[in-house]
Amino acid sequence: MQDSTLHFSKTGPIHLPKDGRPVDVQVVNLVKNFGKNEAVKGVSFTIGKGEIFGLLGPNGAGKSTTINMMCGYLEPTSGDAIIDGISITKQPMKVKRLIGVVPQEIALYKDLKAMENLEFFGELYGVPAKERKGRAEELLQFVGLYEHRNEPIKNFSGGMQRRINMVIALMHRPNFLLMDEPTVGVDPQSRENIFDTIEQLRDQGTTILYTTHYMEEAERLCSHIAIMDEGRIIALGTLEELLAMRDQTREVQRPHGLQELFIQLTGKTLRD
Amino acid sequence: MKNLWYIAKKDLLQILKDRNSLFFLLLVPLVLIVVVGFAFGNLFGNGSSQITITVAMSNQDSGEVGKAIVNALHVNTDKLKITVNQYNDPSQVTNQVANNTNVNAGVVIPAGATAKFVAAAQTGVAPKDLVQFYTLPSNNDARPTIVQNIVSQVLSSQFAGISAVGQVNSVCHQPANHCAQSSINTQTIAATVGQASATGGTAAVQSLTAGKAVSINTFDQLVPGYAIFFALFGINTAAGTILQEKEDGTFRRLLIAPVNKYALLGGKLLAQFILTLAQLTFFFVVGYFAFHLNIGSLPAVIALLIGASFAATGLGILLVSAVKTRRQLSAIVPLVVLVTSAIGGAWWPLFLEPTWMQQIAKIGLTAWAMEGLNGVMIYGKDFLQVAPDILGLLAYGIICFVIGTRLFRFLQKTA
Repeated sequence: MQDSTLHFSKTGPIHLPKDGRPVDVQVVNLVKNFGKNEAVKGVSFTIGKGEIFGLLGPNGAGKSTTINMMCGYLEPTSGDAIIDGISITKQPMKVKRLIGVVPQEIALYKDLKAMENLEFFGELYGVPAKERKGRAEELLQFVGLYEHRNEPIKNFSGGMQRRINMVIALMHRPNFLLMDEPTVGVDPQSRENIFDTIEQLRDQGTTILYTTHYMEEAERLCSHIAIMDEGRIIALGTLEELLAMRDQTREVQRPHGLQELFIQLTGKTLRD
Repeated sequence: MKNLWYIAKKDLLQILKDRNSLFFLLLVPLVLIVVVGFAFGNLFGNGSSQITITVAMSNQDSGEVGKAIVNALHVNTDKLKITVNQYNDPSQVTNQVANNTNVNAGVVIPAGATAKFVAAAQTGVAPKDLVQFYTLPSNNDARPTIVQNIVSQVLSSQFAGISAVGQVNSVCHQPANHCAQSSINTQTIAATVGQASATGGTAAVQSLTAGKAVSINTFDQLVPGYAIFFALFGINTAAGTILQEKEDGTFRRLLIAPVNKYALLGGKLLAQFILTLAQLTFFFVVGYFAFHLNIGSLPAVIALLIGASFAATGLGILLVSAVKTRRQLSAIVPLVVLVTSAIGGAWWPLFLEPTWMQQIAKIGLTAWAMEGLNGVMIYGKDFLQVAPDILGLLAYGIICFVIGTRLFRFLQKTA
């Protein structure tokens, strides 16, 4: 990445990367107020095509609100998100067809079978009827749940439900995938399966925004990382750039990984 | 529109998979209708049922009075059947009345009753306490009264006959009169006068009819009443899924999808409407074939069921908008349903209630639906005559929809 300015101030401006990457997602000065509470205070970043972008931050930092604005669930107070050249504030329905969202909570119909869940969301996203069943079966094979396709979700383990929760967002082959802590509460095997899926998606050209509290996940998956706190981005860059800049700024020893940097940046105060 | 149907279809599929809900929405009402129908079959005036009475009788009299009472109590018609169990000992009669719940009344005719009766008739003063009549204390049952009336009627006619004979003899024995004693048939005079006194009044009154007969099959009230009652409980199952989805996070997922939010809400409500209409139709079809419901005007009944389903759907969105969680909805739905059903005529005919209560009941959709359904099925009204009720249901639904959609919050509060 060239000519990108890394930034650690909680109040200063954010400089967008100008590294010549083909930009797929542009978030421009997003602001969200809930009454007097400013949840997001002017967040801007770009994500290159086929890139996994990590959005990290403690609880209440504004990550989920940012994602909610990017996917059209919440209307921004100001600012915009441009997905594949289309504005979410101006053409939300068009953008919604381009994006897939993996929510933090397991949002599935537990009484319905795995296939029924996938086919229902396929219907809503306009997947043609003749392709729907095949696409659902393909995705179930992708995450190793094809054998369980006719079982109700309530019979699935937490890890299996997480995998279904993820592939539902892929039914309509989205260009841009927003993943909000997709590995919470899963066993190592299911987590590994989710990582493999994400890496395959990236290799196929899907752009991904990934939020997590697990720093090792961001280190493994993300090519660029933004750290948010109190509604702002306080650090942005590749892992190496973040760590290197941190060393220069603070004139302290290089932290052993992102976890240490994260704590140094956001502090040890407990968040609600 | 496609998305609206996809959402409705998914909701209906979920309901079909929920066997507990189906059991509660379909089977429980049917069982209740059958039990209540047979338990209170006569309560609403089922015209085809026969009143049955059992009388414990001890006739110690060897004369005409005892015989006449016993004969009069042997009744077996379409409307009334009296069974007389005879006992030699009068104490057995009181014992039967006191201890046998099948015995409705007891009659003891003491020895020499006829002789005392004749002696009293000579004086023209009716004898007192001649026949003993027994019932349970504080008994409000109408059946002992029927028996008592029959016994009283027999004694009155006997008294009139015997008094008439006495009067004839008295006139003949006056000095200026000459009667051939052999020409005076005392038995014929007594029988003729007695019969005349018993039937003359009845014959003088001509029984006529005006208007249509009110034919009430108990199930004509019970099936619509319980169908509406349980259809309202369906709000918990169908409209309640909106709150369930909010709690489960799937509602957010639907809002993120490229679906118009009103199509999303419309799909949910379409499922509620279809479920309610299917439920009502199921009860009416079963009622028609199993309980011989008097449907009356079919178009009117169909319009009333559609109107009731629409109003129930409107009530669903209103309640869902007014509460925040499914648990709150589960608490408020029974309250609303029980109150509106009680005063709205779901459990007993609306016309049995005082007028003021019938007016208050119109705050619930049950009263509109039951007024219309009673009108069609019991009073034989046609479509136009129940049109105000159909329009009332539609207006009720529209008002609920307008308020409900205004109050409805698509997004949950986010910190």
